[in-house]
Amino acid sequence: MILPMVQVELLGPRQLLAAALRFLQGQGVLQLREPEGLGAGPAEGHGEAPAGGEGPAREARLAALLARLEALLARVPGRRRAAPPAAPLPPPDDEALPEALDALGEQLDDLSARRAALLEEQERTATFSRLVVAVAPLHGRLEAALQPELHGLVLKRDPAALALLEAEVRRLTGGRCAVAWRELDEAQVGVLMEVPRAAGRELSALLFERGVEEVRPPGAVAGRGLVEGLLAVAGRQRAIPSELAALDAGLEAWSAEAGAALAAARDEVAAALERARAAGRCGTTRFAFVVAGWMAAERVPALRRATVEAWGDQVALLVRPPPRATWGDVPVVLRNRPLLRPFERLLALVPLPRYGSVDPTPFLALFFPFFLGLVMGDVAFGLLAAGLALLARWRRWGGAAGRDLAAVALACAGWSLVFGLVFGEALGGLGAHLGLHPLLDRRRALLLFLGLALAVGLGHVLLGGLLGVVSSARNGHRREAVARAGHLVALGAGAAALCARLGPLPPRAFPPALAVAGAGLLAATLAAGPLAALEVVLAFGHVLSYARLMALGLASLMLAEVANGLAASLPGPGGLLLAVLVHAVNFTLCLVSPIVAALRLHYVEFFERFYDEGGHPWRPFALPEP
Amino acid sequence: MEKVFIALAAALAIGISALATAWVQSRIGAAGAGAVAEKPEVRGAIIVMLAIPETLVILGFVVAVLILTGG
Repeated sequence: MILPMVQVELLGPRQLLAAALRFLQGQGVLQLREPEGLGAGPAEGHGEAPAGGEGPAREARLAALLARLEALLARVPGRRRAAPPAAPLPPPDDEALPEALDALGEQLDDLSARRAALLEEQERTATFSRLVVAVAPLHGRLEAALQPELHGLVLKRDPAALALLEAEVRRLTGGRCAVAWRELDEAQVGVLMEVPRAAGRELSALLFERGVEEVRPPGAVAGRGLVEGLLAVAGRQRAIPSELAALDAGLEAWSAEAGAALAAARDEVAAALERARAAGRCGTTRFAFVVAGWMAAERVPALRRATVEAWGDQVALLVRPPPRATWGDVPVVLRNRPLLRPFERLLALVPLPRYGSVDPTPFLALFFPFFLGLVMGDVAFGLLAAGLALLARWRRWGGAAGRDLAAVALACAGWSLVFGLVFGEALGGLGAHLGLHPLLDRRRALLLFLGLALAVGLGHVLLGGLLGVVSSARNGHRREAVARAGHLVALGAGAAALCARLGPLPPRAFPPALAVAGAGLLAATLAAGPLAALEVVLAFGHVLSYARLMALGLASLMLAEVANGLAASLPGPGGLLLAVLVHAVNFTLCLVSPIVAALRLHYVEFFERFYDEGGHPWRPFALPEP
Repeated sequence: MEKVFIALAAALAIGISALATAWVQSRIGAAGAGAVAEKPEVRGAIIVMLAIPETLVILGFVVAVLILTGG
């Protein structure tokens, strides 16, 4: 059902507006709306800045603060909030908050930069070490007096290019260099060059000009010779992991504290921003304020008690049912019994029903599994679906949505078991070998099965029509109610007349049924115009659409028969395996096609008779969720 | 010979309606995929729209069954 709502107005002295909004936000039971009957003048009207300076400028400042906090929090690694912060940040309106955020940002920048530098050094050290270890044994040495320094390259295998490189380096250094290379893998060659420090800059410039990227030596190696460089690299390789671990520990400790403080500040700022926006929607005069909104009728007594406790008689709470003319704006909350609640998920694919209209959830809960069961109609598939649903529930797959879908699947499996017993099917015709006796053999009684599907469709469409009549009458649309009732009578009596002609009903029922159908059509035409006749024809088309239940069921049965035929005609494990595969495909198809078909039968054929979409979702004015 | 014509009529009833459904679904599917890519919230409506032309082949199937069973 759609939860009954009431229209609420909270009135009080203007200086209490900020506190009243904070109070209402804490209660979290009201969805705000613009109050009626107030002008938009500068002194009297809604939307102007109320007391406490909560105006557009403050709103913009809070929005900017919230964006900064979100950006900072996104950069903080690990969990956002394990416990309340030991050192909370200043409150949202405190001028010190932006400075505190600046300081935290700088700390995070510093820690991140140090970590990035260490990681880069670790990578460079590893690459350089790999190069030096591979090439060093081949390497000649320069005199210490020349202050040799190392340059490394990783090049593609090309002997001509390597020879050219060596010649260039020798020319540049006047022959005072040592160049060696070795294959690192199938495609690459590592090159190590030792040159006098005086020629180092020129060598780097030469390599840059030729588009050759140097393996940049780590800082510890810069300006050192081979042996000293190797020792320095080994030292850094040992030291960097412990430095990284210490830095990570520091970062984790900082994140735990700062993350908690930032998350708490983000929640506070978000709440303050919501209040600032809410203040813009409140009505104010020079002396008073009014906060208007909708809330569930069942929560009014609790809010009234809390209001009296908080404000005594300073603030008044006015409650009245929403006028029918405003039902289109009233937010919608669906509230069904726990058994039916999972089926509310099936409504997620269509817009919410309008306030004051019919909630179709109970009908979905009844007919959706019924339709699926009618199509599947197989004991084995029912048991398999029930097993999977129970497993999903037990393993808690998919969280709350998974639990709801498992409940829906369980209901579908139940109906599949029931119809499996009616049709005497378990993996198609194997049911007969298990002792199942069909009450309705849908392999042979095709027309009877078709008639059953159409009868179900007729009942479903008539029920939708009846709900449409009730809904129109409840909303005060009398002509629409009469037209819908006329359609309903014309469809029901027309179907009865058809049955009388075709056999299921005695032929003597034909004339009165036809007369009643004509009367219904006449009533509908008088109420809704000549197009009412077209509506009745469309309704017959909708009933015929339910033949898909029979068609899909028969297709599923035939596929099962094919699988059984494969097992019988191909002896040995191969045939059995093939049969299992085809049954698995059939089961998967049984999960997909009937779901789409059953949803479509509800959304198109059933809902069209009564469903009044366009309801607004419930968005209470509440503290933001952490 | 009569059986051949009956079978042919049933095959045509379901075959032509299946072709019509396939053509319509291809058009709706292509447009629907584009719509879902831009507005994922219309997913439900697209699924329903995609299922609407199925009525054609279902009715073809019913006619085929009636032809085959002599109903």
